[in-house]
Amino acid sequence: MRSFEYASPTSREDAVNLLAENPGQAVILAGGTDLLSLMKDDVETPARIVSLKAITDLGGLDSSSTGLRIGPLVTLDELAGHAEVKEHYPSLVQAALGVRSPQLRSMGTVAGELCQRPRCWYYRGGFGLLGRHEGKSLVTAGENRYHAILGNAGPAYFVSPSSLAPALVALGARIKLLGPKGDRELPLETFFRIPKAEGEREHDLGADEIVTDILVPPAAGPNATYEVRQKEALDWPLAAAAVALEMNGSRVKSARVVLGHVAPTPWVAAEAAKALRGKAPDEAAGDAAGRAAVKGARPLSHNQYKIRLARVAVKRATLRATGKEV
Amino acid sequence: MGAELFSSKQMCRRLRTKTMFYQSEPDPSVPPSNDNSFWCTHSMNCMGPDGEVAEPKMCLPGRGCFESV
Repeated sequence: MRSFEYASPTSREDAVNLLAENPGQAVILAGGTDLLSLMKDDVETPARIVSLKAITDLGGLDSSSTGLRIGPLVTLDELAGHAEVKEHYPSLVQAALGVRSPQLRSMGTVAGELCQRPRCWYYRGGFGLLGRHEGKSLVTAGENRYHAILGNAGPAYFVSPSSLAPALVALGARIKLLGPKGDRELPLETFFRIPKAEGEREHDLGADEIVTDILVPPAAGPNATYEVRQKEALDWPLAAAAVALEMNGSRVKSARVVLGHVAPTPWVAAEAAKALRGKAPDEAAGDAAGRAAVKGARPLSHNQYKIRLARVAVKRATLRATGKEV
Repeated sequence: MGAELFSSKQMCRRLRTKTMFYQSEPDPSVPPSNDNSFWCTHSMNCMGPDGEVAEPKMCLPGRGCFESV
């Protein structure tokens, strides 16, 4: 690891100023669970680290009639253990507990989980976010078994690594950011984006901005996350789905279905939501939604299997949301 | 065969083995061995991009795909 300057501001504004003074050379430290490994691998070589840990109002989890405000420094364990979250947003609890390492849940923060960098081994091996070498993609010609099956027209083939993002996007969450020009708020769905060139990032957080709030509206109905994993120990899921339903009696009035770990962003499956509308959320409807969710999937040479996993994840998340444990 | 081997400037920077990531100090009473699994971060495979095996004795200067540290 290379030497760096460490700053520990106590206000949001100071944090933004410290980032803006050194554009592109300063990085944010929250839980540090991703950043430190990136630095050890020489993928990130910041000149300055701006720790947010001393900014107390970036923590806290508040529930009110307008929904949930999650401070960016709330840890995954705090989120999963919060009584209101457990009662109304089980999809968030299931996603947070999907991070199987107690140490990571204890240190890792919600904003850090959302902004963690992709796990693509070409990126982590130093070939850049797009995994290119001598003008060619290493992913399409190489080991792509864990890469994207959706949103993979190129040049980005990595998958969004966040487990919380699908659940939050399905719940209609918004994110607030603060930069030198003031704050801005946007739907979490549009916060994530697919980079088109090396140097672009996979989300919309500027180099001189920080996350200040994650805002989740009141849950309209049952919701759940289901992850398909290679092993139950610490690992990222192979495919995941989050489902948020609004019910009209025993039938689905409206639905949001979001896939995780199968595309460079959390993938909103509008066709799957449409397939659930007006139906009882049973196995047949869940299966139809799963098939609709992966209708546009285009597997790479080694990841055809992920199509079925994503399909099953949607079905099982639908069943889990309505209390049918799978 | 652990981190000490990989501190060699002669080794290709794309070669990896799990022992590189161990946090423990090497035990001098345990003789080095070459029974680990190695992989190349260019090909993400036990074979390098040139189709030859990725392992310490092969991933040396002179090989076409060699990258210095």
